Amino acid sequence: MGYPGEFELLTLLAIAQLGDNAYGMTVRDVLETRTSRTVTLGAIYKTLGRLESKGLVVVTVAPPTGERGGRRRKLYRLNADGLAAVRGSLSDLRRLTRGLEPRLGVK
Amino acid sequence: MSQRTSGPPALVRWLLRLLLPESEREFYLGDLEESGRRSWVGEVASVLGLRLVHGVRLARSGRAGRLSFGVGEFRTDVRFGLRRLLRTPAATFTVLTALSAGIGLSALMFSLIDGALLPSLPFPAGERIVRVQRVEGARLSAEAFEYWVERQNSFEGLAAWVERTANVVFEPKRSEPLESAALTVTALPLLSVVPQLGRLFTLEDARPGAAAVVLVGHETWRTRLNGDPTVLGRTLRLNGEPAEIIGVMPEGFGFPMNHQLWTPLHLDALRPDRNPASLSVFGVLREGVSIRVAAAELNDLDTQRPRTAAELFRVPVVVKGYTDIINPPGRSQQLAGIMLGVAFLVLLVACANAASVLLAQAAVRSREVAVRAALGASRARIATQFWIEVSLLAILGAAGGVLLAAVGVKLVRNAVPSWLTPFWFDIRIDVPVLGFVAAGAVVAAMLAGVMPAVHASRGNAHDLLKDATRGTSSRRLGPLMGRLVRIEMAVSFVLLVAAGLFVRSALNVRRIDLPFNPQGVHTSWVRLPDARYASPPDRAALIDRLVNALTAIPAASSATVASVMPGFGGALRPVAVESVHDPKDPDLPQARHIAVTPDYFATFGASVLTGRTFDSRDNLDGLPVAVVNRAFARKYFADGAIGRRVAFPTDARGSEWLTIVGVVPDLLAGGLDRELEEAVYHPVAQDPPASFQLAVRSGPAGHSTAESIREAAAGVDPDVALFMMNTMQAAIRSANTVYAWFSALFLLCGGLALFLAAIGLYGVMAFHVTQRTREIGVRMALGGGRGTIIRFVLRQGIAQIAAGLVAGILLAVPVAWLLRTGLLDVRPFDPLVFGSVLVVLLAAGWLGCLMPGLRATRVDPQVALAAE
Repeated sequence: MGYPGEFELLTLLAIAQLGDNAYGMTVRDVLETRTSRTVTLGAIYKTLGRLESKGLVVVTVAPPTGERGGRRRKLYRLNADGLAAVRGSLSDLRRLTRGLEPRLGVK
Repeated sequence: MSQRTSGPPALVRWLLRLLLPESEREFYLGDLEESGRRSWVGEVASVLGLRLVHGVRLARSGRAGRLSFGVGEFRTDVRFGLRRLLRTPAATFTVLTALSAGIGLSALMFSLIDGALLPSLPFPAGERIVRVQRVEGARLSAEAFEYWVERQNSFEGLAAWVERTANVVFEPKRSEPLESAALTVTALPLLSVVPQLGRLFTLEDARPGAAAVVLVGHETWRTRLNGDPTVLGRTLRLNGEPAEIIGVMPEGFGFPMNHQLWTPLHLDALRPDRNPASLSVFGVLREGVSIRVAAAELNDLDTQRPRTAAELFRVPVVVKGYTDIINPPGRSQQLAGIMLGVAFLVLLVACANAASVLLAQAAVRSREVAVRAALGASRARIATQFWIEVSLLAILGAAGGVLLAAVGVKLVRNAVPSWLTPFWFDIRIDVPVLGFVAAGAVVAAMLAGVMPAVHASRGNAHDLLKDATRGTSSRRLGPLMGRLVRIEMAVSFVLLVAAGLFVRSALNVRRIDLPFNPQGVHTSWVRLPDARYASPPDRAALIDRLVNALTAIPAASSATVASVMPGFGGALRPVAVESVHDPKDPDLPQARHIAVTPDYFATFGASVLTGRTFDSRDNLDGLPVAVVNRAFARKYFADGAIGRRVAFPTDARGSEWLTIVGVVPDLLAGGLDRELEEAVYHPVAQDPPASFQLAVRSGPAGHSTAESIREAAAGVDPDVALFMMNTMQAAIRSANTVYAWFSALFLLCGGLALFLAAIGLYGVMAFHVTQRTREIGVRMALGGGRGTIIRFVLRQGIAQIAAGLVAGILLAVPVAWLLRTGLLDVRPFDPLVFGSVLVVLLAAGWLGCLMPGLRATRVDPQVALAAE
C-alpha cells in the first residue's frame, strides 16, 4: 500500500464526501468549492488514474445520461485500503501538528 | 462561473480526442460536457500532461504494444527516423536542400505577391477603399466632387486630396522637398486612422483664413524632428509659410502613396473653376456595393450635374481598387500568376527530386522492410515509420525554407528604394505566408513520402525477400523512377526557357539601342512650389530663367526642361486629329503628350526631319503649335504632317487645336519598352507644367556636376525643389529596376531548377548503377571493357533524358507563347534561349549519367559478385 500524496489525499477525501456520486466532474466541483483551488479535469483524471493504480479506489462504470451527450460515467469509491490510507495520513498529520496549534492558528 | 455551454468547440474536441487515451476518452469528454467549463486551453494543456503520464504508465505495465500509436512507440520511431536520416547524409542533404529551396522560394514569391502585387490598404475597410478617377486622368473638379458627396449612396464616404511637394525647413538655411498631400477633413476619419500624437484636422482647420496646421509622418518625426514627443504646437516653415504641427501620424502611414506631410485641403480655393488643379478622390464602398454599381452611380450623377464653363464634354468616371492604381489589376495579376507558376514549378521539381531520392532509398531498403514485415510489423506500422521520416524531412525542409525566405525578403527590402514604394507595400513573411509554407511542406511530404511508403509496404514479405537477393527491385521501381526523371527534365526545361526569355528581356533593357547618347547627361525632377507659381505665365518665366541658368553652367553644352525626358515614358492622352476624329468622341486613340523647351531635340541629338522645331516665337501669345515624332506622323499623316492640327480634349486646355510645325525622329517617348511611341511635343512656354524634368549635357570642356546644377537652380529660386538627381544612364537603369529584379529572381529559379534536376538525375542514375553492381561485375568478369560498360550506362540514361526533353519542348512552346506579352525585344521562340537550355540540360543529364558510369567501371568484379 502506497502513501497518498497531498493532492491524492484531498481527492480521496472528496471521493469520500461524494459517497456514491464521485466521478471526475463532481470530484472537481467538491475540490473547487471546499478548497480555494482551481483544478483542471486533466489533473483530476491524472490523480484518479494514480489512485486506481495504487489500489486505493474501486471503479465502476455507470450507464450513460443525456446531459453528458450519451456518455457513460466512471464512478469512484474508496475501498478498505483507501480508507486506511486516508485514516493513516490524517492521524500522521494530527500527530505532527500537535503542539503547533497556536503558531498555525488552529484550535 | 460554471455557465452551461453546448460543450467544447470542435477544435478542442478533436484535440482532446487525439490526446486522450482511449480508455479515458469517453468519461473525460462526458465530464467536460456536463460541467460546461470554458477554459479550454488549460484543459488541453493538462490533458497533454495526462497523455504523457498515461503513455509512461502503459509502457510500464507492458501494455504499450497493443496500442497502435503509443507515445513511447512514436518516440522510438522519431529517434529511429533521425538516426536513419543521419546515416545517409548525402541523400538527407539532397532532399533537405531541394525542399528548403523549393519551399523557401515559394514562400518568398508568395510574400512578394502578398505584400506588393495584391495587397489592400492596411486599414479596417482596406478591401473597400477605392480610387475614383476620370478616364485617362482627366481633370476632376471640386464642383463634381462636392456634387457627388452630397448625393451619392454607394459609399460610406468620399474624400479628396491634392498632391504637393512641400519645401520644408527643418534646419536653418536648408529647405528640403517632402511629398505632401492636402486632404479634405473627411479623409483621415474615413480611413479610420488615429494619430500617434495629437489630433486630426477639424472643419475649423479647413476654413479659408484659418491658421495653417500640418500633420507629419512618423518617419519624418523620427528622423527630422528627433522623435520629440513635445513636438505638438511647434511651427514648421512650409514653402516659406509657418504651419503649426498638430499631430504625428502612426508608423507606416503614408497615404496616399508615400507621403510624409499632410495639410487640410481648402476646397473653396479650388472651387472657382479657374484653378486647373485636379482632385484625387477616394472612397470607402458601402458593404455589399460593387465597384461597378458605384461607378454607374457616379456617372449618372455626373450627367445630371450642370457642366461648368471649363468642361467641354464629360469624361466618364472610373472606380478602381485603391492599390490597383499602382498595380494595374490585369498586369499585376498576370505577374502574380507568372511568379506563382514559377514558384510552383520549382516546388514541383523539388518534390520530384526529393521523391526520387526517397524512392531510391526505399528500393534499397526493401529488404529491411521485408525483414520487419516478416517479424510481424503491420503495413500501417511500416508506412508510419516512412511517414515519420518524411515528415521529419518536411519539417526540417520547411524550417530551412522559412529561413531562406526570410533572408530573401530581407534582400528584397534592402534592394527597393523606399521612395519608390507605396506605404502599403509590406513585404515580409507573415501568417498567410507561413500557412502557405506549412501547406507546401505537407504537400511535399505527401508527394515525396507517400509513394515510397506505399511501395515499401505493398509487396508481400516473401516476394520482397526473394526480390532483394536478385536485385530485381529496380525492375519494380525502375519505371516509376524513370517517370520522375522525365517529369523533372520536362519541368526544368519549361522553367529554364521561361527564365531564359525573361533574362534576355532584362538584358535587352540594359543594352537597349538608345537613339541618343546618354553619356554626360544629368537629369533631375523638379517640383515648383504651387502657391508661388500658380499661373502659367509665372511658371513659363521661371522655366525660362532656369534653362538660361543651366545653360550658363561652364561645363554644360546644352540644357533643357521637359515634362518628361526620353526613355521615361510620356503621359498618355486621348488625341484628336482635325478632320479625322471628333474631339467629343469618348473612344479617341491615345498618344504621348510631352511639353519641351526648344533645346530638347538638340540636347538629345535629334535633328528635325521636316519643318522646324520650337523657338522663342512659340510662347503664350503665339499660335499654339506642336511637333510630332515619326511614329505619329507615319500613323496619322501619310501625306505630310506640317500644317495639320491636333487636340488633346481631356487636357486642361481642352480642345484647343495645335498646329503641327515639324516632324522629329522617335526619341523613346514610349519609355524603354517602346509601348505606344506616337508622341506630340508642344512648347513648355505654351503650357508650362508645375512638375517636370531637367537635363544638362556636358560639353567637351568637362563635366557638369550635380552640385553645379543645384547651385544654378538655387540661384533662380531657392524654393525650387530638385529631387532624384541622377545621370541619365543611372536614371534609365533605375527606371527599369523591376526588370532587373525579375531577371534575377527568374535566373535564381532557373538555376535552382537546373541544380535540382541535375541532382535528381544524378541520384537516380547512381541508384540504377548501384543496383546493377552485380550485373556489371559479371559483364566485366566476362571481359566487358570500360568503354562498353560506360556506353551501356549512358544509353540507359540518355533514353530518359531524351524523352523528358521532348516533353519539355512540347510544353515550353505554349508557355513561351503565353509569356510573349511580358517580353522585351525577345521572340517567344528565341532559338538562343531554347538552344542553350537544351544544351545545358543535356549536359547536366549526361554528367548525371557519366559520373556513376565511371564509378561502375571501377568496381572490382570480385567485390561486385560478392556484393550480395
